[in-house]
Amino acid sequence: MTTQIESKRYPVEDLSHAIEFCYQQGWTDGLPVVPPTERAVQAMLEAAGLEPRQQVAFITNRQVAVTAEKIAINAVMAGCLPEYMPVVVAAIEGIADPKWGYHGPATSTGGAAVLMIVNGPMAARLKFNSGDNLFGPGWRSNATVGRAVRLVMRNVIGTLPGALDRGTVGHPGKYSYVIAENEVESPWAPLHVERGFTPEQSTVTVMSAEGPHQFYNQLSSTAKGVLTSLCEDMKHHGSTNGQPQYCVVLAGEHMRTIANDGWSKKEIQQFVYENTHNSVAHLKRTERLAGALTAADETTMRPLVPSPQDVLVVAAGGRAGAFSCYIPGWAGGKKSSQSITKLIQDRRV
Amino acid sequence: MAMEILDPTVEPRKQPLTFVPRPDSLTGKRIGLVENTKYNSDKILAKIGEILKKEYGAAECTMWRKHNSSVPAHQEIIDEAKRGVDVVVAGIGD
Amino acid sequence: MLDGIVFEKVGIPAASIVTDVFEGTGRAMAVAWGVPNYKFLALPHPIANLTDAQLEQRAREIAPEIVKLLLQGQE
Repeated sequence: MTTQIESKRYPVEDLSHAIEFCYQQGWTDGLPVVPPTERAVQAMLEAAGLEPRQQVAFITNRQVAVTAEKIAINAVMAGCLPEYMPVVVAAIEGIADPKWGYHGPATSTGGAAVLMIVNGPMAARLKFNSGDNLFGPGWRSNATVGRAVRLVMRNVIGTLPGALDRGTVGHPGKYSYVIAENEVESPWAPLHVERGFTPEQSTVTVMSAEGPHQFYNQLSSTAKGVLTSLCEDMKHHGSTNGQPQYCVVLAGEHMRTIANDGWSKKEIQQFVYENTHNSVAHLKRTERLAGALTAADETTMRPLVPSPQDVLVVAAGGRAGAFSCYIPGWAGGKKSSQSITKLIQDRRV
Repeated sequence: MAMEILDPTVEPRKQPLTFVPRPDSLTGKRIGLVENTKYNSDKILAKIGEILKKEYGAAECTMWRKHNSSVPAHQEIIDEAKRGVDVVVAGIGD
Repeated sequence: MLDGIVFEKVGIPAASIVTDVFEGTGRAMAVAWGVPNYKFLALPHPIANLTDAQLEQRAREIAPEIVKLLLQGQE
């Protein structure tokens, strides 16, 4: 590394004082953080092949430059291993993309978190979970990579609850919200390949997202059967105004039922798109669209998502259990925030 | 064991902003109204515009709608405003 | 809130209005943009579910402050 680390330094007496100090400074998400020493931060930067001063992203709406050094400090605090740093960097590049539109999802009363989907060989190499207890705790990579992104959002980009994070109720995904796609067992093209990357490349897809909505179907032996239950749940979801993208995560039993019926991701997307329409009349009667009811409203249908391609289908979750989930995007809608896929880069020389 | 830890935060950049000279009154002035797409933003701004015309002598009002509430007014709005209005009122809902 | 700052930067005097629950958020944005004392206005929240008459009332109440901010500015 040729350039020096420039961040302000604070002397602390010992480890427990350091942990308390970080709390007192307001640097944590409520959980204790790993105190960021220079040595740990340097290891993080070296693992990603980045110089401290290198600008990874500029958040226009906040006028903040996010440097590699600051990402590394927050990644150490989150508990990341150095080899996770390229994934964190790719995710930050994703949320800085103008099409992700930082301000809306980060600040909105809609309370969206950053759903992160990891694809490619790095997912397995870094032991990202794609199976049982998919959104739950237990895997260092899932837990700390998502947490690192949130700590950057908090400490670097100023996304603080009550000030620039006004999620009315928010959700626990704001601690960490990271999954990998189960590319080994999935019969379908992985998400990143659908989006134009090669199978050998590794990517992270960021999507501004509400919490996972679990749905249940234990009776169906056909793709149509499983997806009918999904669509019945999904179309009642409230964000019909904004028309965000949705992510549908299909776990083992449902994945196999649908695949055995010969359906691809495209057919899933088309079916979900077609079967989640609501009449404008219904939306007005249930106070989700404004305006007086007219006769034409009974037969005017409004899709839940702008297009079939706006249903992201991901194969992940445990092998056992008749449960999968759908994840609505941020209520502000696709026009304000789109999912972005970024390459996880190895910049070491 | 004494140690040092690094600051994970950044300070906001200082950005000098010279504020634009103000008009003496709104008489004859053209008002730009920029609504943020949130429900009733356009209605309330339109009413404000009417009051500025009727009671403060403003000449006319033009309303623009942003692409979405996540972004500041886009370039076309800014260009049209520079050509066609004297002051702007922007806002407002959630 | 940011729009007011954007228009000042391009040379048009502006007044920004938020609803009052977002005053803290507006202030945080002003700080982020390097103008921590930027003046902006607040209306009672919410406006989404107000009737036409109520919107008229709110417009009446805030109009004088808007005029003051447009004419006196930020000094």
